[in-house]
Amino acid sequence: MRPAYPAARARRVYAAVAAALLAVTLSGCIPATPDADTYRDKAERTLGAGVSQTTTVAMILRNLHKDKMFRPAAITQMRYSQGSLDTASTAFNELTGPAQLDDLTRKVSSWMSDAQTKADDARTAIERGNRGEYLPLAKELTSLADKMEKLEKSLR
Amino acid sequence: MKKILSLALGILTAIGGFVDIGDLVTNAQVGSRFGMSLAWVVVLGVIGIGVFSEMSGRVVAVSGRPTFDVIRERLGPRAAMANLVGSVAVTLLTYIAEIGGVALALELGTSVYEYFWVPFTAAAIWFVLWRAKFNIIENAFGLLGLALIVFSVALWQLGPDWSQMLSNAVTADKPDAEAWPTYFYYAVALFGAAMTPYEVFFFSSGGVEEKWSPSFLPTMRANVLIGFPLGGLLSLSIAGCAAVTLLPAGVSVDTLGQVALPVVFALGKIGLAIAILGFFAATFGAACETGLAVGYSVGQYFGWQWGKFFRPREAARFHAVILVSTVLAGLVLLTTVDPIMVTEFSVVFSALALPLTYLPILIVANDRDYMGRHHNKWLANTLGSIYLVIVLVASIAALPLMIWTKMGTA
Amino acid sequence: MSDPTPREPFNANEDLLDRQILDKDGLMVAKVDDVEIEQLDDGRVVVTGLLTGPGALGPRLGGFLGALTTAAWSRLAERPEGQPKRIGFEHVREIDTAVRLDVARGDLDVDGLEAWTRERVIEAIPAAGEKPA
Repeated sequence: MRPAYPAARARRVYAAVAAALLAVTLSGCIPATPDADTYRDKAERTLGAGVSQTTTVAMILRNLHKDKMFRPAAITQMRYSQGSLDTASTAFNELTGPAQLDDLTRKVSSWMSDAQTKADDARTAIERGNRGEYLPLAKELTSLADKMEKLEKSLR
Repeated sequence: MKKILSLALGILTAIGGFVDIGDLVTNAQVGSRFGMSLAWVVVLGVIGIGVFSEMSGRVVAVSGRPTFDVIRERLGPRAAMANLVGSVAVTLLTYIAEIGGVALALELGTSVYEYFWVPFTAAAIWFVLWRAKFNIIENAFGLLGLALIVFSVALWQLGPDWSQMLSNAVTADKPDAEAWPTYFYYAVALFGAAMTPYEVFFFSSGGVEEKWSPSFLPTMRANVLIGFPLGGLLSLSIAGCAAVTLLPAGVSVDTLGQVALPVVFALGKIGLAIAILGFFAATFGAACETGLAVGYSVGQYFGWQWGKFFRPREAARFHAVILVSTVLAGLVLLTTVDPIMVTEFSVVFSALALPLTYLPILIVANDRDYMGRHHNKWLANTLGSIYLVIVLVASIAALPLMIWTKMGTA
Repeated sequence: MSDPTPREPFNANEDLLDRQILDKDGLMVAKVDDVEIEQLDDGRVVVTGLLTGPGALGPRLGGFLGALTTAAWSRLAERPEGQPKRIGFEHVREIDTAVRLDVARGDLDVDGLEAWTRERVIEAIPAAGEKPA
């Protein structure tokens, strides 16, 4: 067999590298089906983010209630907390967990979705200045965070 | 009297100018996840930056030659070019992070989106570097940066169990929930944040800007030996505040708003306002320093006229470098990259780049031809050599730890 | 080179290469990117000039980057490669931690890029000629 011309060979190498890169990139687009341990780990991390952000929102509400914080700073932090909750929740819902962990999936998903809803409510209350809602919302968020933290610790 | 005033001013600006976006974010993150168990790294970093700043300051006062000038002379054009590329890349990354930090501080104060502030911030920083005198840049933002003392006041108001905190710090008592690799990843990040290379470039070039001579050495030493440790106390206060309020609640820091939360608990609206002012001053001042540091390093490698003691037209290439890096930094931030993430990268890559800066300084400070009777004595050399080992370890460990711990998230 | 004045012997590699050049007013001129040497009839080697700028730095950088530097400089400065900008050694007044000259920077034709940047970029911006306040 005649060896390929150097240019043709180089082209083949480029094509192979491009194909490999494409494969790596596209593999990110396929929903992952992690094994049980990895899935538990992901759930734990999602709950960690959930606890961190719901607690942050609750802290903001309590401080606003006591008139210890001004609104621009509160609204700025609310935006980031809402964004983080959305990101963490979306990332978790992308995963397909193993069947034996369906109970865990249900809990984490629904609590994260609860957290998102309550954070949205809190944001609305702050934007509208409905001071009466701050404390009740903060209490709900804290009890949600407690639930999440308990489950998070049980996964360690 | 005048002498005492200027000494006091130097020390105060050294304190207020010590903290930048890397210190703010990393200390709060570490406090909220590891309590005071990484306090030893801050102490280690403060001594390290003190040792090497003193050395580079001494080299400048005696020889008139700032750090990158010396690096080129000692390493030759090839190795120094590699060093320049690495150092400037890290300093630019830090520049981006600092400008982003200013925008975040303004967002926190107004709730107007950070991206709105980026172009104005970049333009304002460029304008200051174009028009303001060196000592105004250094003093104004250094003094305003003292607003961060609010974190020390807040910590005291929060009334933590001091002996508990101290024992956590002394025994490096890591919370069980965190793994050791993550602990050491943050140790490296914290070390990189305290010893950021731009600080030495800026400090030594500032010596030329202010025309230090050997008679200035005692003042310079006082600034470094008193100012930096007190600045380190501000860092520890930020970590302490997070350790007291955020760690027990399970909040881990990933925004500037969360960095400020403990102050809100302790001191309410006024405290928050002062903290935001402190964020603004610290990041704006550090942005000016990093922007200058890029121009200084490039100018000193090539031997161009550089410095703020000239009209811009007399140091055209120096000002062109600053202009281009400022535009570049602004554009990067407008891609909506998260400045906090840029900060996290910048402190780790700082740790990676540390030997590039510190090894040549140690070599020159030992050169008797160059330094005359002001060459390194046993204390500076012992500390310098010990730190060289630490710096090398941190540098080698930085990237593997970053990948292994997925930037501290694993 | 008309009459290279022999001086005290020194190590050009250590004491000269990569040092900062300052003009008679202490303004920064360039780095000593390379040195021009000449062998006298009696076998001694003397330095006759300081070579500066990308044309001198490029060959010392070596490799692809060095070749690129030299080639780009040669095109932009409209000078052949191998003829970098030079400062005659007779202008050197003193060598300590820097190389000090006895002429003003403006009288030397060594900063083409600086002049270009000044005229095309920096002077187009307001207040370029004012002292920082």
